[in-house]
Amino acid sequence: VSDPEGLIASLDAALLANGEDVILRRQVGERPNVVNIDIGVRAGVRSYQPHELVGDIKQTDSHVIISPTQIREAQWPGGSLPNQKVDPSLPRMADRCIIAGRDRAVEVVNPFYVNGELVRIEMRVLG
Amino acid sequence: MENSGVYSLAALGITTALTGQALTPITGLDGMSSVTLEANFQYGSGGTTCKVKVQTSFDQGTTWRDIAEFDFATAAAVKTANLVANAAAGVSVYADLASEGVTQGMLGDQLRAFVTTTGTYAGTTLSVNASVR
Repeated sequence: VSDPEGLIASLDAALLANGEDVILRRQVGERPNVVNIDIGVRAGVRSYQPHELVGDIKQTDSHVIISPTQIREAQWPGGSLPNQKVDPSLPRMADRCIIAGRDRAVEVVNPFYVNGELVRIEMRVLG
Repeated sequence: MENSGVYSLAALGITTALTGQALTPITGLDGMSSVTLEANFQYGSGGTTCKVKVQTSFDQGTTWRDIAEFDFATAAAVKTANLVANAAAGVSVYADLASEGVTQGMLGDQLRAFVTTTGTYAGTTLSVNASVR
């Protein structure tokens, strides 16, 4: 049986060694009164390979891997209305991901669970 | 304390009235001795009143005690409060806050926001951040 904590620790170590710092941003409200809820996370960011450019995936999109560690530590996105259908701590479409200073849109989020515990999050970001 | 830092207690678009809505708490704040609160109300239109209490718990979230209340109406405002719990204090009788103000000298290991609004706001946001030390 896989050990979720071990998998998270391995991912954290890999991201620390080979990843980069990005900002995950949730925006609440309507312009001009928008509130940003930011968290800095360590991420593995790569471009899609030519053979992966299927469906609506474009060459300008990026594949981003993050760990749940920083999200848990910061309890991001903080206090939320209770009884939400989806775990608010999971990134979601319409969140932003700021990579190397460039503000990009989160399009697809794939959470990976082992024994019911979130161990890894993969995202496709646009732009 | 181990988990010092800045936490978001609330970040909401305010629309229809909220009747005493408790938001999910920030937990694991053992050893918290002071906290600076910032409540940021960005007004759009409509609405009547928006009150946000910040509460703490001494029993793992079963019971909540008011430590600050920020009151807003139909104008944008940013309000702050600083609370400390590392100074000696005598016995006092606890009472829920009934209007804007603070209750000094008591910080448990959790914080949450408790929001009550009246009227229907549009284009309005409320955020509450806590810098915990």
